[in-house]
Amino acid sequence: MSAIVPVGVNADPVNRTATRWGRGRRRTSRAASIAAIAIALVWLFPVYWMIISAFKNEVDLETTPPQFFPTRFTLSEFTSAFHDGFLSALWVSILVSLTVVAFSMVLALFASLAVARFRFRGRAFLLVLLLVFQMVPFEALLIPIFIELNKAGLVFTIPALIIAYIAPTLPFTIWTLRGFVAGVPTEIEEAAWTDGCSRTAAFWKVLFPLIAPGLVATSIFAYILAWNEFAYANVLTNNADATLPVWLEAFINPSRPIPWGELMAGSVLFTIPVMVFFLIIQRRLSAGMTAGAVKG
Amino acid sequence: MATVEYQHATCVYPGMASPAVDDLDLRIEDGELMVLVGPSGSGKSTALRMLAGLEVVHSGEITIGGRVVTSAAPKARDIAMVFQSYALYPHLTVAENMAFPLKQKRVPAPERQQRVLEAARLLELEPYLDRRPRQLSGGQRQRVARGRAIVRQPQAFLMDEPLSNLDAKLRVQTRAEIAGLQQRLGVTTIYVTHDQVEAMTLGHRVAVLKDGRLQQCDTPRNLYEHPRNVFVAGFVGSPAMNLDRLPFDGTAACIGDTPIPLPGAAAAAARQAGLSEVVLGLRPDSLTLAAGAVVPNATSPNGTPSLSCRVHLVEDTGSDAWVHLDAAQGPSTLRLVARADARRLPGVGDQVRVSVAVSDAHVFDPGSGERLGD
Repeated sequence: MSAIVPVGVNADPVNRTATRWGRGRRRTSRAASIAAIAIALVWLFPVYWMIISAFKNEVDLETTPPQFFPTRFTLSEFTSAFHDGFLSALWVSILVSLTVVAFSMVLALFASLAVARFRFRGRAFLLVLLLVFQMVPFEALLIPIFIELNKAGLVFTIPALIIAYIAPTLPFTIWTLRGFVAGVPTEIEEAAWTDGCSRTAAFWKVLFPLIAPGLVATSIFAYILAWNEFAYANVLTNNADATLPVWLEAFINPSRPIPWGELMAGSVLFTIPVMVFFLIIQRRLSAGMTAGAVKG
Repeated sequence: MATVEYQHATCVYPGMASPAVDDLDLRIEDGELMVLVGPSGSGKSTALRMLAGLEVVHSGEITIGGRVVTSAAPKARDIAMVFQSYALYPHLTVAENMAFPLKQKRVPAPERQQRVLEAARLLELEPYLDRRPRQLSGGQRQRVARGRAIVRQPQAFLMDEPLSNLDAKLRVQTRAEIAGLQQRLGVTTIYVTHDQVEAMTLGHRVAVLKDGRLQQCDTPRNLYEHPRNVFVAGFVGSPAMNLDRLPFDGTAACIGDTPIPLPGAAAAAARQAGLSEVVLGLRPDSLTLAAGAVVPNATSPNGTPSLSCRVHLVEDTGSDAWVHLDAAQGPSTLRLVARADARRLPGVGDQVRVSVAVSDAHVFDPGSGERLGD
């Protein structure tokens, strides 16, 4: 015989506890969501402010209190920023970033293969050395690198900047790629050898496609480092070879008022190529991150 | 198809004092299914990998079809290997996986497609040809791995524990499939397993390895009936053979007060060697739980020795039942396993009478572990 339970009353203590627990969990989840949104807004606000300031006219930029939701928009700040050496700086930035990505990926790929697949004397020491080098502050190496490049007669040239960027990029890229290579079971490569491949063919036909997402993920790191870096670019290049961060910094000149509109427009132009690059490869990036995290 | 031969083949891993495979001499006949079996670290997988060209042969030779391949690259050996983890290419479809070795051999596309389809039909993989390995079950992946090996039409198949990742039911089914396929294709096959049941049911001959050394290579029946040494005797057969070191009086070994007369040749060999003790091996099938009243350890009127034992444990597997027994042996007890009629099982703690089929007894030298007699 079933027990009679009054309508609207949950007579089962276990269910009642479960419901209370469920409600508590929902409340915690809602609070966490609100906190996450609040933090995201704090981080997104400068981006929002940069974008709307780039489109404001000079009058609206200076109003007090500031206009958070402008009603009038102009492209004049973009036009003046564009004609103020943007294309030249963009070209240098793209050239430097892509070259750094290409060189560091090739070097890191072979180095990661060596440390992941071959056993040799000093292998563990090499891996520790890579980590130690990674911990040295990038800026602390600026003066020694400048001196070395100066001796080599490369200072104030684009190759100098490329070399300077490749060095700090490699430890991280080797470490990351090593994880991707180690995640591919050696048996798969061995299967390719017994299936008629040489070592080189097995690498290109089997291993390379499997670590491609890892290459994409690590190339993003190298690209962002080269794209955003300011200190080395400022010291190692002359005005003609300025990268975008150096070009942007040139808007701040103590002898004249800061052109906020042009500066913000320049910042938007500086950000767009990275965002486009990221959007193009973000699918592969997420696949790469997952593949690296879960060995399977 | 070809004969495969190891001639004094040795492999030593860097930093290891003893060889992983030590002076292996083994000939696998054309079309034969040879199983390499042994416990972990016995060198069976290393021996297979040496044959595949995945491990360095430090001394000795390996030939396939009369051709010395000791230093040849894996791709030059014309073998196909099925790995324990199947080692399918995750970025390729089933069809592309199977066609991969043919593509490396530059087989024209129409022939490639035809051979893949034939193998897929044989292995019932046709509905899955466009799928990726991650979309397949374990059994299907195993079949793809076999399919990739079959399409090559190699001189020899190499299989490294191909069933160990499957569940028990699928393992039995796949085992039968492999045996059937090998019989049908007639390709020389070298199959590695640690499972002696798999070895006994599949192999035309079975090579038992221990610590990198070949212990015995023979047909499954001969391995079971005439193990060459204590290791093979204990390794082959499930449950394992009862192996006990017993005092020897010149004609019989004694369990408690009961003399177990040894087969004539074995007794003569033990006498000749001047042994006062022997290792007596009795298969569980050689021990029968006798009907009738329990009597002290004695010899029955028909000359069959019988032991009085206490039942320690009963394992009923449905079709078979195994009874673990304690027999008195001086101040201590001797643990024996006997086969019993599953319909009439004794209870734990019961005192039972066990008759010993002495003609099936195996006798070994306790020092060298070698078989005495035949």
